Amino acid sequence: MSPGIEQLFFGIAAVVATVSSLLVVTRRNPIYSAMFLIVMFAAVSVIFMLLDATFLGFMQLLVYAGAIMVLYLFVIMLINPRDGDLPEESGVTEKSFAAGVALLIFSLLSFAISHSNEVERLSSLGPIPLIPEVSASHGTIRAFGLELFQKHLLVFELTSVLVLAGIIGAVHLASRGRKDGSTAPSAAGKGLVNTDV
Amino acid sequence: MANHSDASEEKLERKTATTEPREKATYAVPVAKGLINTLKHILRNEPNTIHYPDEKRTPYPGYRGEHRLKRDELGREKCVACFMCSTACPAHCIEIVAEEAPWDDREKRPRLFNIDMMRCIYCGMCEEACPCDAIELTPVFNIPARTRAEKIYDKDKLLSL
Amino acid sequence: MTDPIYEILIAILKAVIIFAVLLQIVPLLVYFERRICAWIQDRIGPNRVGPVGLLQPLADVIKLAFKEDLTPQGADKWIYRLAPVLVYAPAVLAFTVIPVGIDLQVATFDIGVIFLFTISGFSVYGLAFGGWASNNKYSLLGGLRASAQMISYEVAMGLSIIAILMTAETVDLNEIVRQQWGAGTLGLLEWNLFQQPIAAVVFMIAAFAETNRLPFDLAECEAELIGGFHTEYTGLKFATFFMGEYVAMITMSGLMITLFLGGWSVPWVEIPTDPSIFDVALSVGFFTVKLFALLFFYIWTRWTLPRFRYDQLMRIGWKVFIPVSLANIGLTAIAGVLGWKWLIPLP
Repeated sequence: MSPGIEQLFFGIAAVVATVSSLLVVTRRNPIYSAMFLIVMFAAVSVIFMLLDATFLGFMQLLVYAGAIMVLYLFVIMLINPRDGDLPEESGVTEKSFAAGVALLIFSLLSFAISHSNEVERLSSLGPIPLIPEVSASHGTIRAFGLELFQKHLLVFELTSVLVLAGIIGAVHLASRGRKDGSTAPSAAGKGLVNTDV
Repeated sequence: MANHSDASEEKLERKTATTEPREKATYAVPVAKGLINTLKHILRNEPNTIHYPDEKRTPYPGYRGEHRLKRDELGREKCVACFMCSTACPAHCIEIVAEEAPWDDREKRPRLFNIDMMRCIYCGMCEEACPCDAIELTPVFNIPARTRAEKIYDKDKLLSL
Repeated sequence: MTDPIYEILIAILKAVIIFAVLLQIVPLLVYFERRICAWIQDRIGPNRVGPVGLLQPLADVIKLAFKEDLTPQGADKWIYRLAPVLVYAPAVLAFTVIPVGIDLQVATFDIGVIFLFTISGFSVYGLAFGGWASNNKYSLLGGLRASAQMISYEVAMGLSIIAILMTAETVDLNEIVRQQWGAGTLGLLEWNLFQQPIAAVVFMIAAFAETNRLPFDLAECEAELIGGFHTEYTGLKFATFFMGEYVAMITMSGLMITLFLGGWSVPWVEIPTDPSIFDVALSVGFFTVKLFALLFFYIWTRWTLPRFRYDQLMRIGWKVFIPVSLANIGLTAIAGVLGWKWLIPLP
């Protein structure tokens, strides 16, 4: 792909990602928020693909846009908010608090970035070429797998412990209210009343 | 009262507890059997369909279609306006107005005899109830009409059928 | 031959022809569905419009096009309009990477399987958004069921594909097809259907669930949900839903053929390195035969089995198919490490 077209696609993807993430937080109806979040994930995955990380881009789509957002949507639809049910717009106190938190995170991040030596390292390399040279294996599943399962194996395994903890928590919550721990579903309503395990 | 409801609830719970987990997910054999069965039907390909407007089915004896009123050997209607049929009718679709009969062998005859075919359920109770064998259900089932009023058959129409 | 304009023209031509054919299969499929279900039920089926009723789909389309286009009161207009497209577009898009003949596909992707799997999963948004936007409790329930079902069976399907990818050591669909070609009388045994039977069965059943076909069509479920997510849809919007489902069925069958049934490769006929038109036509023909056989299987199953109950669906999804396909991955991994060639195909 020629640099011009690549830049054009990057521009489109970046604008779409920014605008849709703004829409995610400004829409009052959570269904619209979820929809624009999907659009945002898609735009980010386009950016990944432009960086020659096709596999990562598709994984972004598959996991976030394809699976996690379906789960979000499931929960939103279970609550089924209609325009009349939505809570009142939050007041000035909440808004200023949110703005303060956002400002704090932004300044922390910009401080960290400006004081890390990555900026110096990158600037010492001279001007960044429009299309950096990457090896043929860059972004392939093989390169991805080697990186993940050799270099970052410990982190990967720690993540799986985190997921396991999540599963145990979910199972615990689901089995609450069963007196004898049998697999039979308790009678309707009992699960809500009995909280002893 | 409270004890009773507790007991029934417990019973319900025990019932679900015994039936639910034992239901094994071994669907493979019944699924295969079903597939073979439907495949047999495809291969045999003996449709039971009657191409209706082209082919017509002859109704079985005793088929209950639209009504007619019978005449006796002198050409008079057999009906004596006894109201037995309209009393027996579960759909209340028979309307009779009686008048004095000009003949000696009976007191009354119907001046008006209307059957609302849109209301009739073709049960044959009128035929059962009739003491003079004057009303009868024919095998005819396919007389169309453009309006509801056309499906209210009067005496002349019923006698002509 | 390497002229870029020439290549672009070829690409456009391929896209146009494959899509035109794909869209022509849909009405044909609807016709077959109605005829086959009639035969199963000892009926005749549509046989009045055109020769043996072949023009029936055309009559259906005309009927749908002239129906009144309703938007229910209280519906979310934009999402309501968007939903049918969200079902239709992913199904068509996913078909682009399926090789229908020797290296013949609309889009050449080196990670074809992942692309297809990702894109085809997106159709659930159409069902969920459509169900929500209709402002109808049955539609909403249909959308809810669709999303829960899709997440559950996507996991089982992905895990069954992983076992295939482990033995194939590639995600290039053409390469997977090449590996399934076998010479000699037992050439068919090279198919992944026989090499990885567990994965094949799990994939097949998950494909039924993913495409919302009976016995897993709980999102529609006309008996309890009056049509589920498409209860409120009429006319061409409904037709778009309908088309999307059938295209998804074709796409899933195409993926099934490519992964498990040898794809376009013709057994006993050597894959030529420089294929002539005749070779390509032969491979496309063989692919088409298998496609229709599989579509017949879809229809046959639909008119045989009753619908699963929702808890049964979830139970067999999570408690049977996911553990089984995980065990299959474990078995494949062990066999691969120990080099058991009699169990799995090893390169």
